[in-house]
Amino acid sequence: MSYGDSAAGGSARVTAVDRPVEGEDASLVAAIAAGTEVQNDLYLKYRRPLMQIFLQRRIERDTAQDLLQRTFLQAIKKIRTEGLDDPGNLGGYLYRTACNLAVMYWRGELARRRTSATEPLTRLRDGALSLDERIDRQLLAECVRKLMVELPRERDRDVLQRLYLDEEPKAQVRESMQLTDLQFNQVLFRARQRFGEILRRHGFDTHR
Amino acid sequence: MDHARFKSSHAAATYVSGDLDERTQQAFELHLMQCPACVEEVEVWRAMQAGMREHDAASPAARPRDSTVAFRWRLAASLAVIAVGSGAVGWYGRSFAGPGVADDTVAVFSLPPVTRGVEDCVALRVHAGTELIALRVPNAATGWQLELTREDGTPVDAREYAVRTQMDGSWLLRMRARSLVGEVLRLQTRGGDGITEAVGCLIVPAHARG
Repeated sequence: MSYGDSAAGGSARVTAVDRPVEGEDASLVAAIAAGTEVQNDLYLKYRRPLMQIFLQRRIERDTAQDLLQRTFLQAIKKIRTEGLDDPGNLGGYLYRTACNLAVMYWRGELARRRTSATEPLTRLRDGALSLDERIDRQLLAECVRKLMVELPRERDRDVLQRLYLDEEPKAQVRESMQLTDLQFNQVLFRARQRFGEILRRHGFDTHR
Repeated sequence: MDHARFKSSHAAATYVSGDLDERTQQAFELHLMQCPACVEEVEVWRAMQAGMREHDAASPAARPRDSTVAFRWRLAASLAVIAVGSGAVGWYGRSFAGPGVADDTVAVFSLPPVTRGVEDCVALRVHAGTELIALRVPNAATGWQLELTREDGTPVDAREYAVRTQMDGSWLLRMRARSLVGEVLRLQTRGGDGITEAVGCLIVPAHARG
């Protein structure tokens, strides 16, 4: 079976993933195939990007955790039974599997099979958890409140609010506020920088 | 596109706001699989978005749920990769189970708020084979339910649609496309005290279905 034919039976088109550090994925795949206990390594490397794939598709966090488990289990099973045609591109395989599972979930094909067990987050190393899984929601709201206070311009606050709260398209926000691309990007840059500083003050390091 | 270009174009910020086109989003997501720095960047923007929602919910006075907000809608008929599952849980007050769906029978829309008056009907253009329309409606307020009525204010039959609230603070409305073609449909919210508030207008154009 070719790499493109596997994973969840979907039809998503696959393009080559950015090549990982040479041999890293292949080593991981070899270890999984050999039955080595490397689940944590797999989680550590791919849990966070895969979580974003699910969240981006409007899948709630609890469900996303369930789908993450399915993604990893499916990959491990595939590696141990059929193997991957391109073991160096494990990330691409996981990505496509996750996309297909997301589609299947929204079609309702997974709902009835949904397990009640959620991912045992406490067992995961901190590095496998996404930022907002490590931050209390109230603290997050407090950080945003500080951000809104500290942003120097009303315009910056409006841009963030319209983009991320009201979910207006970027082009529409930009046009209605008569911002050039450069100005718009500067707003994002300032907001990101300021938010990063606030998070760091609360002990969350977010490198740039 | 390489890391430097994603970085310089603020792809992470744009990704979270849902503004990347399909091809760029796929390229960026594939890049994410091998780029911890970009994942972290996405997480920061995602956290900022979550924090804004949390902050907004905690301080209703700052953004009152009044007509100014509720009446401002836009149709971003971007076919994001969302659809609905007939077996999903949490649908309230509706008996519509929806057909068994396949990719080409579901049309998915997102309806974020913008500067569009409640009287301006937005068209949900679907092809002839569409059986189910899924519509994401943001700003779901606690204690309020989303309802669908016809132009004259009569409720749309409960068998024709279903609504559920989502963790991201939105409603997900799914409608049986065939029976609603050509109809002017009104979206309204209903509070616990029975007060209703118009929030938008939709139409599924008949001509678009062939």
